[in-house]
Amino acid sequence: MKKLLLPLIVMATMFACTSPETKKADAASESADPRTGTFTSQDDKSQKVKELIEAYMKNDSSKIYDYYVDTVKIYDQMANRQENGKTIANPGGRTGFAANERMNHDFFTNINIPTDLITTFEFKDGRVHTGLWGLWTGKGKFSNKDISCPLHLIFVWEGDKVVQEYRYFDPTALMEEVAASQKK
Amino acid sequence: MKKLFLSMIVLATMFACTAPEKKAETTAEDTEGGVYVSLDDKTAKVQQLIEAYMKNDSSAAHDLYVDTLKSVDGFANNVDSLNKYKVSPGGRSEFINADQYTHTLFSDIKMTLNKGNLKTFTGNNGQVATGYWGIWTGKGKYTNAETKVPLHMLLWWEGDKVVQIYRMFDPATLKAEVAASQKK
Repeated sequence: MKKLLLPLIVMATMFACTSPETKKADAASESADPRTGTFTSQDDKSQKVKELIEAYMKNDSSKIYDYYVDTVKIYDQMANRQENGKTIANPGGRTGFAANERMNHDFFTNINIPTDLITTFEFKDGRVHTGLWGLWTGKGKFSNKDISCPLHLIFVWEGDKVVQEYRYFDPTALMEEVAASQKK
Repeated sequence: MKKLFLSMIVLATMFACTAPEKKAETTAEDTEGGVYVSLDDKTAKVQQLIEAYMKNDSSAAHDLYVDTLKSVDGFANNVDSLNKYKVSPGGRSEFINADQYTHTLFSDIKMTLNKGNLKTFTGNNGQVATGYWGIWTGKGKYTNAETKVPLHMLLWWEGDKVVQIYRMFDPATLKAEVAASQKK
């Protein structure tokens, strides 16, 4: 009886590893659709993006150095910045990106981005992206105006590092603040 | 010795369950999680909607959108005093009018429909949304300038109708074309 019990415990423990039920885009995962997958906000990569945003709000670029590769490509999805159907990457890799992020704090105070809409997408073909949707807000140091700017970011991961980031936003308010700074 | 060996197997199997990283898989209990696909009916309907828009044909929009459609454009400062996104007035009819207006400003309007530009997300909370990430192109009828604008849209479904649409893009070239049209 003891001999039977122990293999049963081993088997039960092994089966326990597969629960709770994991959704895997049921029907589609069996199809030829490579652009299918699952998403969640409760994973480690969503948490890392939250840490990145929280650090950015405090003008702390240490997390950028922790989580981005030094050759990271940042794509600002602005009008007429495309070549061969793809947005041109900003120059400077991680160092340039960190400097640009800090520069935001030269123009604005009270910078805030809500971190309640961060989701990680794991594709069937192995790609992993994290998306953020939120409202960037700040107060212009030169115009003294409260500014709001809807923001959508996509972080492309390789392993536990960000290798690309796509940023969608309307840059009008940022450009107006830069113009205001040059008048003073 | 045998007992020790079996206990070790049980323990090893249990430790194997603890993955080093929490991945982007989702369970039914994960209210912020879900699945996504790109070969479903809703993705196909949004593709038809975009194809019709490129031909300045609003029939698909009339079919797909509810008449009380809520549309939000993620422009800078397009929020109310509580930082809530402003819904554009006029529901479906005004939304369609605005889409048609782009054809009075631009010719040769195209939107990329590459594999991966469209996906439909089904949340464990029951929400269904189709997302678009692509590039809008057109030639200004007044400026004669070619313009390329990265565009992100989210369309929320209730049953087989779209009830809400959210768009994010850099409006600089659209504004420039409107300004040029008013000068002539």
